[in-house]
Amino acid sequence: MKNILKKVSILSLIILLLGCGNSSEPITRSKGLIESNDENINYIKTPITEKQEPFYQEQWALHYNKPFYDAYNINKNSHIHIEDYNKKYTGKKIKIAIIDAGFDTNHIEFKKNIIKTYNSRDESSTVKSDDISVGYHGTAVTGIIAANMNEKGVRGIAPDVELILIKLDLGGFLDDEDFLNAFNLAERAGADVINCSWGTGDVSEIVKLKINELASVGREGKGTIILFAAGNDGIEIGNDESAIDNVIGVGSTDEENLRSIYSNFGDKIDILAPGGFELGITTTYPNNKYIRAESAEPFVGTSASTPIVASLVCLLLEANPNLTRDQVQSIISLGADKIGSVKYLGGKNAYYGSGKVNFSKSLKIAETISL
Amino acid sequence: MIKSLYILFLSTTILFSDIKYYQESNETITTLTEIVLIQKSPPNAIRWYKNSKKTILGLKNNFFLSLNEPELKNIILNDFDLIVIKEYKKNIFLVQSKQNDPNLLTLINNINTKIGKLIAHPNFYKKVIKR
Repeated sequence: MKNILKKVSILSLIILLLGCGNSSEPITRSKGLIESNDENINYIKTPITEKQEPFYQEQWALHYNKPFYDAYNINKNSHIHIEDYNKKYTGKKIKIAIIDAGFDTNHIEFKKNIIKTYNSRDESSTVKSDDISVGYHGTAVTGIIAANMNEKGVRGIAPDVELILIKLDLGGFLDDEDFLNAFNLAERAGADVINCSWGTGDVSEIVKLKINELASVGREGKGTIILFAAGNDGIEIGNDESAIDNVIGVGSTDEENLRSIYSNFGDKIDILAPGGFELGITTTYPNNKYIRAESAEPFVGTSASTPIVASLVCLLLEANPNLTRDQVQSIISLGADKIGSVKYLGGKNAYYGSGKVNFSKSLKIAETISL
Repeated sequence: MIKSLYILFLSTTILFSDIKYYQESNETITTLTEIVLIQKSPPNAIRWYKNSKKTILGLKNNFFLSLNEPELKNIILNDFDLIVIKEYKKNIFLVQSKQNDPNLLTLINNINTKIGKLIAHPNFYKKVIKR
């Protein structure tokens, strides 16, 4: 018995050492989609850190990794400065609704986080994984927020968050009823946060009304926090969903830690987060695959920036569940880094909003606020 | 004498309240930015418009009522000959005219002008872009 135990411990040690080896591997330059690790490997039941995620080294938006930053000439402040807060907060007990299309509900990185799925068209709970025929957008957005620490691929920013996935048929024409249905379903499921990495450029009054109502009375009067991507056309946002006062309108920054040239702008832009330009945001792709930063067609844009800020909201609410929607918006603005050369008047400008998210500064503020 | 005056007052109130339960407004409420029909459609089908920003919008043959005063619901439904198709939480209703192929833009503007508030909203059909 003793011998068997001894053999098991030696074997464990060997496997552990082999596992640790992953974090110091040289940067891989392979392009395209990567299959996940072999699912049959028996992992040692030790606490998993993000360093054991095979693609963590290239998650440049999350952390500074000198070899990768040097290889791609990335400004060393381009990441979100989460520091050690990613150990302290993981989005526990926070419900986030992601309204999108192309969800792989069986993806190994976030399957266990899903508490509800809905189809906004018929209000059923049917969101099949074969819905990915419409693309990978929803899967990529979800992975940025919720990818688990499981040594399979990437680390999500809020890996313990509870997911409500609401399918909206993006890419074509939709009526205001579809939008209303989607927000109603998010409300019904008790979402604290709603991520919308899409937009119409011209929001209808009735949709604005519904969004404002949720932002005011959701979360038992504290206000649901709703985020919209500002868009990638390099134009003024005008009457877009992201321009609604009670919504957090999210723009994008690039590898140079400046506003991405494509990111829409205007007085109503609230905040920026990494969305990349030549490098994309490494995240999940349908069928247990990953889309990598250096892919030929990477996941780039304000669609990628928005879930980063939505994740920050989840962590803020975990740190301080009593925060109101107003307070969350203020904390994000107050913590933001004032990047770029455009002058900030009253803490804002029309290109950068309040600046680029800084997780540790905002979380520090949230922890110190007493209500 | 006092009794007669009281009866007169009551009957006047009832008479007027029978006519209108809501305050009419002389103000014109503009609910829609300038939109121009770009394509003829069969009756009751989606009509296609272009707005001042050149965005293409479809106008569905139903529309929304948002009512902060729920007591107005039945009155508006009766006065404008509407039926409720779907009821959303917090007093938002998807409604349709009982008339065949009405001019929805005119109907929506008439309701809002009559009530003096933006309560009728078109159900637009528009392009959504993944970002």
